Amino acid sequence: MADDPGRAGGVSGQHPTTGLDDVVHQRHRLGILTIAAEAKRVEFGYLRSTLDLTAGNLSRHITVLEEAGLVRVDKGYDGRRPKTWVSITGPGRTALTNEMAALRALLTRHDGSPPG
Amino acid sequence: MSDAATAGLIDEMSSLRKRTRRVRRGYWFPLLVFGLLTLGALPLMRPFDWENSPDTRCEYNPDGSMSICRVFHPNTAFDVPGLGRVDPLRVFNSGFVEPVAHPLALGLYWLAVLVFGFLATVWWYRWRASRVGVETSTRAYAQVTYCGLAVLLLVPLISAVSGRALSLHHWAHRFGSLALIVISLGAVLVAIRLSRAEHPPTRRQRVLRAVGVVVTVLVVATLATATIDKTGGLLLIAVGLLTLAVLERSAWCTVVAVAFTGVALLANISYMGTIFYRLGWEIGPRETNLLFNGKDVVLPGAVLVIGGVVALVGQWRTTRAGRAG
Repeated sequence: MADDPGRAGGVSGQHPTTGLDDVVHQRHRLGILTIAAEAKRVEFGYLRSTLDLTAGNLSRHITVLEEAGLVRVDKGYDGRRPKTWVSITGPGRTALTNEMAALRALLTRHDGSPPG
Repeated sequence: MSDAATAGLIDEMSSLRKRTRRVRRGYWFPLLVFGLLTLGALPLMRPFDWENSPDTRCEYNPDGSMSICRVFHPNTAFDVPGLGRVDPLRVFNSGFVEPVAHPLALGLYWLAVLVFGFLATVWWYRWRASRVGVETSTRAYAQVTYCGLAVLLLVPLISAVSGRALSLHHWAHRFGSLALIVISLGAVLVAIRLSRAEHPPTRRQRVLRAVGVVVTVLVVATLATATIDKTGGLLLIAVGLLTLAVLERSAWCTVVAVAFTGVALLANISYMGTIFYRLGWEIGPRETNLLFNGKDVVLPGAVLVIGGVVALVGQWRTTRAGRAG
């Protein structure tokens, strides 16, 4: 794993696991980033139901991503109902791209290695 | 991490991405709205009935037969000191084989279509986001509409200054119309790409981007002056829908947007009459039939309405399958 998640850049010339980012690599956090990258912003309730997480669990994952500067959280109201919106940042998009590239490289490397 | 786990994680993320994209999509609404609004222009495209117009002055031969007539077609042009004759609505109401009877109403209608259609589309995506919890960004679509309206407003001014010097004909007109769409879409793709940059732009980059936007608008406006007569509304809708297709990342939306752009370009080069003739569709007498000029909006409007209905049915079935599953 990379020591500095924010700087875990490309995967070329190094073992693919070097490109894996501790903050992003966790399955649910990777899911949050993947969903957020597909939209301008995503509502907390959609993330909770899609990822099948409890509100507390999801909150903790979002806080980790927010503290790493990978997502932005906006709170507002829809009528009287409070809503929390999550959107991916530029560094978050880059971190997601790098993580997916590292995972694919890992798979390709294993596919290409001799058996045994 | 085992190979199976890695492959499983990649598949899971791919599945999440596809699911979110499906839920997020809402393009059936702008397709239907713009389709119906396009067809709504039909009643305003009635040809000008010059024979029964009180403004027509005819001279007759001694035997009573008509010798010559002076026909004053209604138009929306006016004189501006220093510029000459300016027609602010020419991109919507001029260039028809038969001049229209109500050019002011037709021009204002298209302006209203562009503004109302844009506001309705932006409202729709925001309302839908509050319902489903995933929002499609309409920023690039809004920027396209603002720049497109600026282009359509600049065309009459450039036209007044340049006179007939900027008019293209035959194959040059066809290639020019196509280049107009290609350049506009290229600018949109560059703008979307830049908006996804990792870091916010520096001051220098912001200035460069602003200069780029101004230059692009001027180039497109100049090309539009040389190529657009009556289809300014259709072509701006076309570029807007192509932008939405990029944002939505939908194959069907892309197919409909490209088909609409194709028929709008054919209308722009006045090829619709040939299509109707080859299909054996009878248009009827030019003086009374709405389709004589209206044929330019029939196919574009139909493409959007059919595309919108198919997309709506598809979305309804997906939603129903999701609930059942």
